[in-house]
Amino acid sequence: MRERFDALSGPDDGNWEEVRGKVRRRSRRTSALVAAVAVALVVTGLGFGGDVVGLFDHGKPVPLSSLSESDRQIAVFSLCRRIELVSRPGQLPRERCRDGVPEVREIANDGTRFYWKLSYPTGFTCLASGPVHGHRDADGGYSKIGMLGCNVGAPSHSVVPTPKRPITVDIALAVKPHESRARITHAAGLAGAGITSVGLVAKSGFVLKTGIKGHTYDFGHAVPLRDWVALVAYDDTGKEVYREPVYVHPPVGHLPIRPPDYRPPPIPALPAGPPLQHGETAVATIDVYASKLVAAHFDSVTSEVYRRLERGARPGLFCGDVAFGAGRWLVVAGGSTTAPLRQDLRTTLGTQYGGFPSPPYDYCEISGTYGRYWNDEEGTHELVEVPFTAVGRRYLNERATARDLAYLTRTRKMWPIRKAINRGETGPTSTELARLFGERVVPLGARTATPPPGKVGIWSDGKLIVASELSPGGRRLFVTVRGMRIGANNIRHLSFVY
Amino acid sequence: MDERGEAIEHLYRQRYVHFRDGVATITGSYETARDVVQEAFARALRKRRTFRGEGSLEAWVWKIAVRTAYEHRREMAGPSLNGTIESALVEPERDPALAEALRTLPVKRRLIVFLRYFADLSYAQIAEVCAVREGTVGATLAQARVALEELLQEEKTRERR
Repeated sequence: MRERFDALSGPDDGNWEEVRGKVRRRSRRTSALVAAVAVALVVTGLGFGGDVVGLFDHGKPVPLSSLSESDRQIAVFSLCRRIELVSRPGQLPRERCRDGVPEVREIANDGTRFYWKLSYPTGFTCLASGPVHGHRDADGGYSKIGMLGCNVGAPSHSVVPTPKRPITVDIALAVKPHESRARITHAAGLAGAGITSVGLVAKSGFVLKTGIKGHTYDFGHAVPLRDWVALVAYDDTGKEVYREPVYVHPPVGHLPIRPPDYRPPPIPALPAGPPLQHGETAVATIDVYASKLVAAHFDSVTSEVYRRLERGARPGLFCGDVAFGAGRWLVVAGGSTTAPLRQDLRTTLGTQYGGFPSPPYDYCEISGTYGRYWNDEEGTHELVEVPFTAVGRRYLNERATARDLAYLTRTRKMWPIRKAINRGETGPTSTELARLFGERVVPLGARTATPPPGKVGIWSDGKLIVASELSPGGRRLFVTVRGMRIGANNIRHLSFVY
Repeated sequence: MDERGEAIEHLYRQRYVHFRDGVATITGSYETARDVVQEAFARALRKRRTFRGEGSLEAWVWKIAVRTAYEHRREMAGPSLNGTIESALVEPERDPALAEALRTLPVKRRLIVFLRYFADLSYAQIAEVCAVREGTVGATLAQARVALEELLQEEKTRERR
């Protein structure tokens, strides 16, 4: 049977670069859309006389404890300026926001879609919305928040309707290559008191109207392709009381990402005074300043490390905090990639609205994309790693050990063995596996046995393979492989294993 | 790219043809299947941080690919009358007997057969993609194999006559 199906297979016409291109194009388009929608949001609508409309009830509180883990992460930490990690003996480490937590209120719900207003102690306000029944992520996690819009760029801008702007506008646009204008793929928002319908107005004067339900309006996903020019709010007499322009021209897909005379921004100046943290390796130094500026300097641009980073792709400077508890690591890190590589790398780890850890850090590193094959000469540490604390050092060491195991499970030699076991065949014994991978791998007599320091231990019963290794600190890391599936392991939070 | 991105790239390079052939049974042509697979991997790359590594990476990407393929079919033709989307051999003329035999299978069973033989997925992965129990996959494939072999045998007998 399999042979008959195999005979029908077509030629290999895959192209990974095209996939990467799609990801990049989407990112660029999103940026363009954000810019277009932001313009639409800051334009004040035309004023009309008559009754005061747009007053808005600020709803009922939603306890943070009722939010799913994923929603809590988004709500609390997206705008947190001071994230810290908390670890207590025997407990899983967790993040805490020292700025405090937002107050969440449900301000609208039409039975299918909810709207939450998130008020932060720092003064920012966000509007979160999503389907009332939530959605399950591809990995099985559950979350309700589908969109989060904040007034961080315009603190005076209200995310809920006001008498001056009685409706809010969330518009998603898309452009297809053969179309000369953007297509509105979704248009929805909130409506204040007195608004009974909302209309999309085309250049020709045609109006597509929709009613208000539970303080919300929604044109759905089937908005026809037209030259839409405005979104208009009507009161119960049908009178237009507010108008906001809509931009579907020029086609956003054709906007230049960078102007032709684009120059990379100048490297930021170093702050006056000594750094908060200073670390050195044989080839580079890293300084962390209280302002969140991190500065790395390579002693030479001809060193082997520099050349390797240059040879790879997207070198970057990253710093982070780590915590360990109940057998699990928690890492909160940030940074930025830089291209081309320069002798001096400087980046500010933070934004005006937070979401990044603050110095002092547990570690910093300069990383790049290179190697990542098991037992290759590149190793499993990043080329420049600077631990500032004992826990930072331990994390970097255990991550390197975990990567060693993760890379082993996906070697070219291991892949066909895993596939064969997956098909129901019996895999090799521990001794056969050890022989296959060379002298760094030793067979173990039991799946829970500890390998000698510096060696990778391997155990197999023909169905299940367990690889284990001691970290430099003496902790036994292991991963269980069941055919194509990864079973029990304690490296998941240190390295990506599949 | 980070480790997850590299893993997805590795998966693409190793398994592109399986993905394309499996998806083609839903989209109806290799050309559209190629577009769908490219889009599915692009989506997987964008959403890679949501993959927790608790299941198989391949099954996770397959779920995205199948969903993308269904979206594509709905966009192109609208759903069929019973609300499901049928899968079939892309070029039935290359093995008319197999194509005919497959057509007699119920839609859901047919998809499981395609995921097994075209996509080369394990029972566990098919179970994950189709959100059914592993035992159901095994039973479905066993029944489908018997049915297909019977039909193909009949075909052979007819040819000999």
